Amino acid sequence: MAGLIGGAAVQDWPRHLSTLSPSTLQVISGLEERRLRTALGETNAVAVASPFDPFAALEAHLQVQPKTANFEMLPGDTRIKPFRTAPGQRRIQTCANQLHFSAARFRLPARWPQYRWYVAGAFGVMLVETLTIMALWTQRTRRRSAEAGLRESQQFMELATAAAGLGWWGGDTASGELRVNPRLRSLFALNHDQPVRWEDLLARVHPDDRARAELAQQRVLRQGGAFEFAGRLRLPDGQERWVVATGLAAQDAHGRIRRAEGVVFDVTARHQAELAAQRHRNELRHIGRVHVLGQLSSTLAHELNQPLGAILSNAEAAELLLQNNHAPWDEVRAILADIRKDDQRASEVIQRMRGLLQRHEMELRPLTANELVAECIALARPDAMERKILVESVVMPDVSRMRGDRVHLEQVLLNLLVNGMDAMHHCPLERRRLMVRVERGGDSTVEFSVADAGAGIPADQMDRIFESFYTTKPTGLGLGLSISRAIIEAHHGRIWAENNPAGGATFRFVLPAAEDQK
Amino acid sequence: MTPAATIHVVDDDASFLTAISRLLRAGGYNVRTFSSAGQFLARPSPDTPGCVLLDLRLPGPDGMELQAALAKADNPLPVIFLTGHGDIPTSVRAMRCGAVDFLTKPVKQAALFDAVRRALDRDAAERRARSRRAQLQQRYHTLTPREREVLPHLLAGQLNKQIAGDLGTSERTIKAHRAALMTKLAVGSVAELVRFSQELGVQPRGGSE
Repeated sequence: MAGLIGGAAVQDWPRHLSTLSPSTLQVISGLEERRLRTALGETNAVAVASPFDPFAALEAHLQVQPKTANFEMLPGDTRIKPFRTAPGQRRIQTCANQLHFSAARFRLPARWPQYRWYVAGAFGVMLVETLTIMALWTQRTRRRSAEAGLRESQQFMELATAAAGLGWWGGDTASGELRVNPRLRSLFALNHDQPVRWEDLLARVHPDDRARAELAQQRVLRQGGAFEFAGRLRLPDGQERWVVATGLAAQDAHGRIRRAEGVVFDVTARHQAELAAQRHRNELRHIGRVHVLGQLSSTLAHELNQPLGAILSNAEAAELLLQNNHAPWDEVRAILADIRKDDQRASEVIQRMRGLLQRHEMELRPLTANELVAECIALARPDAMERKILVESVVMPDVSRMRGDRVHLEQVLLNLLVNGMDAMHHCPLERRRLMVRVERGGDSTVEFSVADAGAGIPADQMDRIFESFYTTKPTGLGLGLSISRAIIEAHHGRIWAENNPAGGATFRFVLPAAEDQK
Repeated sequence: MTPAATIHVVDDDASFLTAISRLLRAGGYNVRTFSSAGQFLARPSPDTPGCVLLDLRLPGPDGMELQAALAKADNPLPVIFLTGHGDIPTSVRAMRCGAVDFLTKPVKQAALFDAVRRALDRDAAERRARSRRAQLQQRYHTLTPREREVLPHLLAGQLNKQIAGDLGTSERTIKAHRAALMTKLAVGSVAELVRFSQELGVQPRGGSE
């Protein structure tokens, strides 16, 4: 029996040599030279390398063992087809007609056990790869949908902010690079393609407000949370714009601040409306003051004419005295001193009135309640005298320090004094008494009160007297008390009225005392 | 202008009081100053020629009230009002109450002296009228009751006969009364008698009204 082994079978051949047929002489074809050594291994076979050619190998075998009767074929990887085709059969017959050729037995070599780990491994690798790919795919899909969501929410945000006229910004706090919407660019007068950073926004803030804006920005970037800034922008063309900016810095799981975003809105129009309203209020207060002073003006003119009359008479007296050859110099000197004194007096009256007549923005300054009361009584006293009203005041020096706008508070007090005097128009002479008090109120406040002895306020009018255009006087504007209330409220105070048990009404207002007060 | 005239100045403003009195003194007047109506009333002035310069607005009784009080006196001094602010109703009221003038501060020397001069002229005239009236009064008091009774009838232009009829006496008696009356009152004619009676305030009575 002869063996003929193909290239691939060579590998397994030494192992199966003994089981196949140890005594059989074997001719192996297709044994590559580089495999020769490993293939032969420990066997005592002799081998010559030759190209794989089954027919050549068969012929060679027949030459070595001409008596070969049976030829059995165990095809491995080698395709058996050439042996089974007619030309193949013929070639075998010509080279060995005595040969009983049984090529019928085909058997696949048992390769599974040999390769199963490779296969299993390959499958394993494939499985892992598949799983990995699937996982990656899922993650990517998720990320994509998250990105799409984010994009969508940003688009939504941009759409919403654009619709609301809001400037929107958002960005990575680390890079400092900000995403902004077109509205924000136009608000800050930034070019449409220019990349925007924090510094670009801060550079547009009005120099007076910039420190405040920087502080707000730094705090929010350090501590997170919400931030708000209201102030002015100054654009390169010099235009000023009032804005309110609000923002939020989000912290990640580790408490680090990664993203911040916010909106900026233009409140210039609102601000201008507020300014106009403020101007309007000031105008109204001014009218109120002019009106109050108008009520006192005739007597104030008297107040002024008194020193002016004295000055004129003194001057004319001096002229007459100087016509004399022996002028009484001492008398002339006394006259000049008096003229100077009366001039001072006149200018004080004018100062007092001018302060109240000037257009004036509200300004809080330290002042003392006593001075305030004294000034107002000085202004109202001539009128009170004319109306035969006794004005008395009780002040407490230790509680009288406060902050406020002198002109506006004088307006309130004067208004109350004039009201009080008006209220006593029909009073018998002995009852005409106006009492002005300054007292310490609760919670470190100063309480002012003006009490008259008039008819009091009817209960059904008590609620209405502070309303605008509500008046009980034939010539009243109905503005005095409503303006007074506005002024007192602007000073964080409170004003109210009450009827006295003994008759008449008392108007009171409380104002916060200065903080250095005990 | 009477050299010895005294101007009484009432003003609560000390500075103005000093100034105006300096001016008046320089103008040759005697000046007395008062800071309130009460003070003025408390210090009665001697009955010498003069006038009162009154501030309208005074503590206590004001100028107008003081003027009213002065008017009730036997020998009222003419009043000039001086005020820091004069409105028309006040000035009308003051003038109606007999004020010589209503001046506003600051007052010019010329206006002041002019008003003072007129006030003093009025004072002098009033003094003359007062003394004449006193004289007439004195003469009137010398009349007998019957003569005083006859006087109004004479003033009404009645004839002696009519008067005798009204009074229930004879024409002759009336004639005698008439002669005595004319002598006592020192008048020469009925026309003079009428003027005299007007000054005294005796009203005609009876007869043909």
